[in-house]
Amino acid sequence: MTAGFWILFLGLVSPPLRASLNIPVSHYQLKNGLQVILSEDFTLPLVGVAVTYRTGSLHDPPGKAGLAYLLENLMFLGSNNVGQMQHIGYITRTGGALNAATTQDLTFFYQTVPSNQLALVLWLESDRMKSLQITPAKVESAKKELTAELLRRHRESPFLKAFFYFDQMLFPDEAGNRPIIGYEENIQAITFEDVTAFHRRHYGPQNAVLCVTGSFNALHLRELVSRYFETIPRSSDSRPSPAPPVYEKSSRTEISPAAGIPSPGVFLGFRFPSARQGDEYGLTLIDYLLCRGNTSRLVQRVVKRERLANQLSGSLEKRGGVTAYRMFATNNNESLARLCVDSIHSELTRLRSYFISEDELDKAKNRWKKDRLDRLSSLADRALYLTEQALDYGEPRNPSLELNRVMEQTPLKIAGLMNRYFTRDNCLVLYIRK
Amino acid sequence: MKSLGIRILAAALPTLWLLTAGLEAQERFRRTPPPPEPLPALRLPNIEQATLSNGLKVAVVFRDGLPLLSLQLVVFSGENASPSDLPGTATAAAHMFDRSTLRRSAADIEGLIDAMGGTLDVTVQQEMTIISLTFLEEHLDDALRLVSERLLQPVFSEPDWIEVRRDLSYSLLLQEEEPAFISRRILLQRLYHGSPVHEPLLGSGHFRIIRARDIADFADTHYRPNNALIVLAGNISFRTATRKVSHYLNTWQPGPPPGPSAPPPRPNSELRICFVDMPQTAEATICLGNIIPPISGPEYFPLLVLNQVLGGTPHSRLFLNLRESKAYAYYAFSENLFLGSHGVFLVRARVTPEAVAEAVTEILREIRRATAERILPAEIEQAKSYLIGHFPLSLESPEQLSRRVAAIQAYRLGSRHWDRYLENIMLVSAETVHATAQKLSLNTPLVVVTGDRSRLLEHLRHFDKIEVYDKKGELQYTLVKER
Repeated sequence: MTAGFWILFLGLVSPPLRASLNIPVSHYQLKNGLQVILSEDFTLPLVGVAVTYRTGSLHDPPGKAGLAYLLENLMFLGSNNVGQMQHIGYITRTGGALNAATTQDLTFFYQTVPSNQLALVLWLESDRMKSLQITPAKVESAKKELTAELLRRHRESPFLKAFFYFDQMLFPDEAGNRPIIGYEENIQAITFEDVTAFHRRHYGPQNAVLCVTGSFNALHLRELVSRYFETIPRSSDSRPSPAPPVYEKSSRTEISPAAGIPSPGVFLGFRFPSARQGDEYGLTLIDYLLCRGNTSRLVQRVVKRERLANQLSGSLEKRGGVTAYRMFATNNNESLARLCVDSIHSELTRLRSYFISEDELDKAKNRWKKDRLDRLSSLADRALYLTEQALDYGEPRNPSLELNRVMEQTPLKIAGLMNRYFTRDNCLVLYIRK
Repeated sequence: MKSLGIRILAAALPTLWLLTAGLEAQERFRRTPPPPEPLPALRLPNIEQATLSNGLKVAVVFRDGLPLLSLQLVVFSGENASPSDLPGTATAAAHMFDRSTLRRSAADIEGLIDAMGGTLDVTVQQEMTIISLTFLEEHLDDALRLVSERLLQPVFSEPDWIEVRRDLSYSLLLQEEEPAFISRRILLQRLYHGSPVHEPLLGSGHFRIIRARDIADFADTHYRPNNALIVLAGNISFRTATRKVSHYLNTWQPGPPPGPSAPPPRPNSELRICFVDMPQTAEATICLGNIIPPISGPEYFPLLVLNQVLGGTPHSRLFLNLRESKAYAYYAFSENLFLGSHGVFLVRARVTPEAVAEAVTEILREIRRATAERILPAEIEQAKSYLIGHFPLSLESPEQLSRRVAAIQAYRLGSRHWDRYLENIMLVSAETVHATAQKLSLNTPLVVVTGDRSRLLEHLRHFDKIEVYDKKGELQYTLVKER
């Protein structure tokens, strides 16, 4: 056998160039079940701290949509040693920034502060984990705020109602399609007892992940975590997430009138009922290939070349165990909306029939990589990212791992996913009529 | 048995006491917040600078870490430089930056930007234009090649412009549905009225009369190396950066020396209430403000602190008063926009329609209180603590870092501004804030209220005079209170 043969052979089987990001990650668990993730970075004297509870709108009881989000708001209304809204005051006074978010299956609380204030953040987070003060008056006040926010969002986003309606088509089970912010009548139906039961069930340390990123001494941090979190007892009856529903492929088209929208629009959705482990990397790239950036296939075609849509966006959505892809376009009139859908299907057919070029795939990979690096540039976002990875894969992973998995995707894998999922018989369409 | 039981209990008591006392002692730390550790040192990276033979200034700031680079191209001409009969030309020129060159079509350029994982953002201010390009570090040559082609071999074709104009007009049309955008635009328009300063928040109609040739003329005059600056931030050495920038841009031809910058507008000298009708708007949006000194003035640091006290965060006076205490507002904040020739201090709030007059009155009262009365030292220290603690947060990403450095270089603030930023904040006292506030016209702002006339005007009746404008800023009529 010649060397040339071996070079050729090795060349064929060697993996693509592997990227390595200098982001150390370690983790451990306290006796009460709290998972702790640490990732040091001494670029700036800052720390990012995220506490994530494994609960979201999927856990709202039937008829009480909005409860998980209501509890997110209540987490700022005081605990044994921290008064109402004082959490925000403490963080703001340090120059830090904070926020919180509720998704279908997670609720995040995150902040970035100067590194000398790390103990303060752990004190604040542990106090509300241990001794959140929920009173009937606070619940009523939070319900009022939430209702006002819901009405405001409907006023400001004329497509919101249609968005929720399409949720019901894309995720037919009631838990999967209930809006995180809830329905007005559901919010009104939430009682003090519902809130305390929800809190008891989901807000214990065994159901949470604490992630700290940035400039800290790991030994000192472990001491602080032990001090503030070790004695928090497990909550009484934490329950696992509901089992994800099993969907079959299906196609359907509906038309829905909507008041106050600036122009007609259309939603398209594709569910991934039998997604295999590892498909998520290819699907992520398909999102970029289809709808992200000026040179993505569908933006190029339906917005720029054929001018059938004014704008088009896409997003990969995961709700519990169900993943789906949603597209949304606005059009000048209803005829253009129909032509827009035909054009999208025509482009998807091309993508199913022909391999995309390596160049086009590399472009998508680079755009994804840039977005991922942007996210990792922020310590708070990095903490959220590491938490999500830990929850998805059972333990935190170095971001290089995901980076390499995405970089390994090939035109063949993309074509396989396109043929499996992006077909007419798996497409849901909702036209929104003005 | 009983006595044995008592004995056992007696023996166990000290242990039990020790255990519970231990737990109590252990939990005592929960009662008060832990004191902060000593303030960590912030080591700012050096800003290294050079000027190429054609006059192009280059600044480089090194930061190891993620493999991203951020490039800022600053052209020291903004909307003030647009011809007076063609407002928007500077904006049009900036938005043509990803269009054709002699070598590539616009589609090829978009493809090149995507291939380097790049994002291109364009900001046009009154005095300058900033083209911001962030990309994967291995694509530095591609990025500089793109910048070079666009600066040295640009094509301003009518088809490219029509496409850019369509996108610009559409995004402006969407923005014009936002009361906050309209209020801010009318505020700047009215504050700049009669001065050579042009507000950069244009209307969707401005671009109709601009032709590709007008944009080419503008770029030919203003996009010159002796009127520009390039900043690179990320994992790159000064030597490599200057060598590469020089390689790609040393043949860029300088133009005539840039003309003098526009003189600052004069501050508004008496309270004016302006109203813009936006039917079907549920809330009232307030935007008020006045002209303040430029970024390079000695007032800069005291104004940062004053703004922080008044409305910088949800813990500042305006938010606590208008939202938390009186429940008039959904939000209420203040901010300083600092430019080279002047600045604008402004307050923005969204309030319930019934409370619009009270909200305006309360905002004015809070401004008066913060400027006329001496602010307590403790409140000043709290504001400084926020600004000092927040400074590194504004430098987290390579793009944030390069934008900050670009501002320092563009406004010629010097390395001391960068090196001594935190020290300068520490030096601000209640006295300096008070003295600064006394010199300025913060108490006579121009007030713009935007909302549904049928719901708002009756609430604004107690103001003596209300100027009513349309969304474009044209005066429709003036309402005067009957005596």
